[in-house]
Amino acid sequence: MTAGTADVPEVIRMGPPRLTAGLDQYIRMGYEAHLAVHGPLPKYGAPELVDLAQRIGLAGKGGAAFPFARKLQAVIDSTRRRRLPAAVVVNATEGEPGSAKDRMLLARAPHLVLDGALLVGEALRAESVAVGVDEGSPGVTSMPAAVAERRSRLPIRVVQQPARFVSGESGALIRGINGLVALPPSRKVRSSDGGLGGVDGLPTLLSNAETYAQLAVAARLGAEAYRAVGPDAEPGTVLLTVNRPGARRPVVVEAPAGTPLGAVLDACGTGPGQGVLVGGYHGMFLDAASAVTAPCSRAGMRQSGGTFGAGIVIPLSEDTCPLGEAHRIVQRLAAESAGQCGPCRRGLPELARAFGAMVAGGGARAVEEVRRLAAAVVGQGACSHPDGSAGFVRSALSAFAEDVRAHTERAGCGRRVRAVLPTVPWGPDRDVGEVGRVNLKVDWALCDGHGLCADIAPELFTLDRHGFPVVSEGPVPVWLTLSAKRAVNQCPALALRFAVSGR
Amino acid sequence: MTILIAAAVVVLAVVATVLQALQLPATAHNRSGTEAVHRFVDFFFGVLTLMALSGSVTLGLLAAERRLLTPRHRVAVQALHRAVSVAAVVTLVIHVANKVAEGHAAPAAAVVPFASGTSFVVGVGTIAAELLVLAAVTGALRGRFAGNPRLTRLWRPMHWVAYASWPLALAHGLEAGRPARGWVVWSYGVNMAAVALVLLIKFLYGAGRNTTGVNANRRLMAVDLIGPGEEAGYPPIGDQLPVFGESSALLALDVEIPDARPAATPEPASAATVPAPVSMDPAAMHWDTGELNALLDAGRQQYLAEQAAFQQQQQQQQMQQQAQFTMDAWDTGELNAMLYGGGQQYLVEQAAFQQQQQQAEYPQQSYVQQYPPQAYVGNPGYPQGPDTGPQFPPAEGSWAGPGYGYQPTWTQPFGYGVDSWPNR
Repeated sequence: MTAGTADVPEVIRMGPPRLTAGLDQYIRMGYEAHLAVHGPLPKYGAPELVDLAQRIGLAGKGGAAFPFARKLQAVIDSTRRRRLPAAVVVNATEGEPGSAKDRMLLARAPHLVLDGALLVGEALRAESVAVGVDEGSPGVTSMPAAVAERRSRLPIRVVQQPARFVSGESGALIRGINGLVALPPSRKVRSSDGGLGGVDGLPTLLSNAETYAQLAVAARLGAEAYRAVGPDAEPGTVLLTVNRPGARRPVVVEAPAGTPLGAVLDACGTGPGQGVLVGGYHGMFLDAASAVTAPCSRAGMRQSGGTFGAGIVIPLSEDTCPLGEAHRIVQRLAAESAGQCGPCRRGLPELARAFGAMVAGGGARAVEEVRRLAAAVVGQGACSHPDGSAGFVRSALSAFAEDVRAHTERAGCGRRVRAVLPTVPWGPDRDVGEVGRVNLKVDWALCDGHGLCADIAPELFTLDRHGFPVVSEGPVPVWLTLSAKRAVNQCPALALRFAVSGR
Repeated sequence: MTILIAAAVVVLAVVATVLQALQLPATAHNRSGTEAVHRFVDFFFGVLTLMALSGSVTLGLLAAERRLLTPRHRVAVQALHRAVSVAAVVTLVIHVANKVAEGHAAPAAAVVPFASGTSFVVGVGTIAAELLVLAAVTGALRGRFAGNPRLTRLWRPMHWVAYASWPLALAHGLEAGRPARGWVVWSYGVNMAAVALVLLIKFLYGAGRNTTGVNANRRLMAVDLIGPGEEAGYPPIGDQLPVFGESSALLALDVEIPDARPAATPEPASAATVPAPVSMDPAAMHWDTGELNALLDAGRQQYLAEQAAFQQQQQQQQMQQQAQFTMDAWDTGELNAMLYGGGQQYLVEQAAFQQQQQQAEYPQQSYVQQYPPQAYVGNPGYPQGPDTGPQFPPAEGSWAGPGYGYQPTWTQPFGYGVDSWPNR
C-alpha cells in the first residue's frame, strides 16, 4: 500500500493552487485532509451543472478537448429519450508513457476526482459511477482506499484496465468495464447514446479524471471565481507533466492556462534542449525557440505549431539523437497497437522498419518511403492510433530536418540514443507488462533465406533483396505472439529464437 | 481452373443422376407417366439434396481458402456455393413434402426429430434438415448480420452448423433408402475425408487471425478492484503526511509567476443555484487576469532577454576561443602571406640561379646582354630616333617618300578603324 503512494510524482504549482491545493502539506490527502483543504462538496442540479461547465469552458482534459457541457447535455437528452438511468465513468487510465497528471491526482488527491464524478452522478441521478485505473499505476491502491474512506450513496466501482497504450481509449475502457476484452471497439459508438457504447447499455458520461477534478474545484468556486485565471477562451489552470531528461520521476505542474512553456521549464529546472515534444506520442515536436514562448493552452499550442493534448511535455536534451529517440517511439507505437485493423497490423510495423532504415542511412529515398508509409495509414483504422502515430512521424521529420539529412546523407549525427522519451508510463510498478516481453533474434549464420517467416508473419518480417529476413526490432506485439511462435517453430534452418527480456 | 473442374464435376454428376433416373421407368416399372414422375421424385430428390449439400459444404470451405485461390476465384466460388445451397434447400423441401405426402413419414416427423413412430435414421434426417435450413437462413441474412454489431461475430459460428448437418445427412441418406452402391459410398467417403482434412489444417494452422486475436485478447480483460455493490476490500489509507527524512521532492513547491498580488475578490455569483465559493481563501485564489497576463508577459520578456543574453555570452565565448586558437596556431591569412612571400623569394632566387646557370652555359649571351645592340646610326633605311608610331594627324608629308607623291587627306578621322589606316 505504501508502495503505491510513497513514490508519487512531484508537484510544482505556478500561481494559485487549485487541483494541487494542500499538496504542500500532504503526500496524499485522505478524506479528512481533503475536506479540510477544499471544504464540503456543494450539490448541483443537472441544468445548473451544464451551465457551470459551459461558463467555465470546461473541455475534456484527456487530449481530445471535447466540450464537457455538450457531452453532459447529450447524456441528459439521451436519458430522457430512452427513459433509462445514466452511468458515470471516470477515465483515469493513462496509457501514454509521458503523462503522469492523472496518476498524480489518483495518488495524491483521489477525492477531488471522486468529488467531480459524484457531483455529476448526483446531478444525473446516475445508477453507478465507475473509475478505470491502469494496471501498475498508483490508482490501483489509492483509488479503492479512497472509495473506502468515504461513504457514498452511489455505488462506486473501481476497475483495473490492462497496461496497454490503447486500453485507455474511451471505448476500450467501457468495454473493459462491461467485462469485454479491453480493446477499442471496431465501430465508433457514442457512449452518451447508451446501447453498445455505454456501461450496461445505459447512456454513459465518460470523461478524463482531471476533467472531473476541475469540475469539483469549479463547483466550489463558482464560475466567476474559476474564470479569474487564464485567458478568457480557456480559463482556469492546466496540469502539465514535464519529463525532465535523466530524472527518476516526472514532475506535474499546475499553472494558469497560457503560462509560457519556457517559464514552466525554468520552474522545473530544465530547458528546451534541442526541441520539446508536446502532446505526447500522438503530438508534435516544437523547436527550442518556439517552445519557450509557446503558451500552455490549447489555442496557444496550436498557434505555436504544437498540440496541447493531455499536457505532456518532454524536452529532448542536446546529447541525444532525436531520430533514434523517435525511432524507439515509433517501434513502441507499432508494438502497442491492438492489432485489430489493417494499418496497425501491417502499416505501423512497416513504418517502424522504414524509419529504422532511414535512421541507419539510405539517402533521400528512405525519407520518401517513410513519408509515403506514414500517409498510407491515415484514416484507415477504427480509432485514431494510426493517424496520431503518422502525425508523430511527420513532425519528427520536419522538426529535425537537419538530423534527417545527417542520418540519410552522412554517417549520422554522432550522438547516442539516451532514451529520453519514456516508453512506459511512470508508476511504482511500471515494469508491469515489460517483464517477459519477447524479442525475436535471428542466428544469421544459420539463416539460409528460405523466407517462410515472412510468409507466416508478414507483420514481423520482410525479406531483403537477397531473401533474408529484416526483423522488426523491439518487443513482439502481444497480438502477434502466436504468429511469432509459429515462425520460430517452422523456420527450416532453426535460425529463429526468442529472447526474453527483464528476467 | 480449379473452379471450372469443380463446376464440371458437379454438373456432370447432376446430369448423370437425372439421366439414370429418366431411364428407370422405361426398364423396371413401365407404368403411367404420373407414376414415373412420382417414382422419380421419391427415389432421387433425397439423393439430389445430399449431392447438393455435399457440393455446398465443399464449395463453402473452398470459398474461404485464401492461399489457393485469388479473390476473383473466391468470388466465383462463393456464387457457386450460394447457387448449390439454394438447390439443396429446394430439393430438400420437395423430398420432405413427398415423403410426408406418400405416408413414408408422419407430418410431425418433418419437424420433430425422433417423433414417435419414426425410425432412428429418419430422425437423424430431420435434424440434418433443420440444421441445413438454419445454415441457409444465416447465409441469406448475411447482410443483416453485418449491419448489426451485436450479431456480426455470431454469424460464423451459426453458419458452421452446416458442418454438423452434412455428416448427419450422409448417414441418413446412405442408411434410410435403398442400399447404396459401393462407388457411391466411396465417393462420399473421399469427399468427407477431404473436407475433414482441410478443416483440420484450417484449425491447426491457417486460421491465423482469429486464433491470434483470441490468444492475445485473453490477457486484455479488466479486473474489478471494487465490483458493483461490493464492500471495499481495501482498507482506507487516510492522510499521508511527509515524514522527516522524506525527500522534499514529494512536496508541492511554490513557483510564483513572478511576484503576483491577489486581486480584489470578485462579486459572488448572483444566481441562487450557484453556490458561493466554500473553501480555499478567496483572497489567495482570485486573480485579475489583466494583471496576471501583464505579469506573464513581463516574465516571458525577461525570459527572452535572459535567453538572448545567454546566447550573446555563448557567442562571446566562442569568439574568445577562436582568438585563443589564432594565438596558438596560425592565422591562415598571415600564413598564406608568408607562404606567398617565401614563394616570391624562391622564384627570385630560382631565377637568379637559372641566370647563373645560363651564364655559365652561354657566356656569349651575357656578352650580348652586357653590350646591348645600339641603333645603327647612319643606316639610311631606318628613321632616326625612337619610333613613336603613327601620329594623328600625321605630320605633313612625314611618310611620303619622295618617289610616291601620295598625299592622304584627313577630313574624317573617326570614320576609320585602326585596321583601315591607310597602308604605308
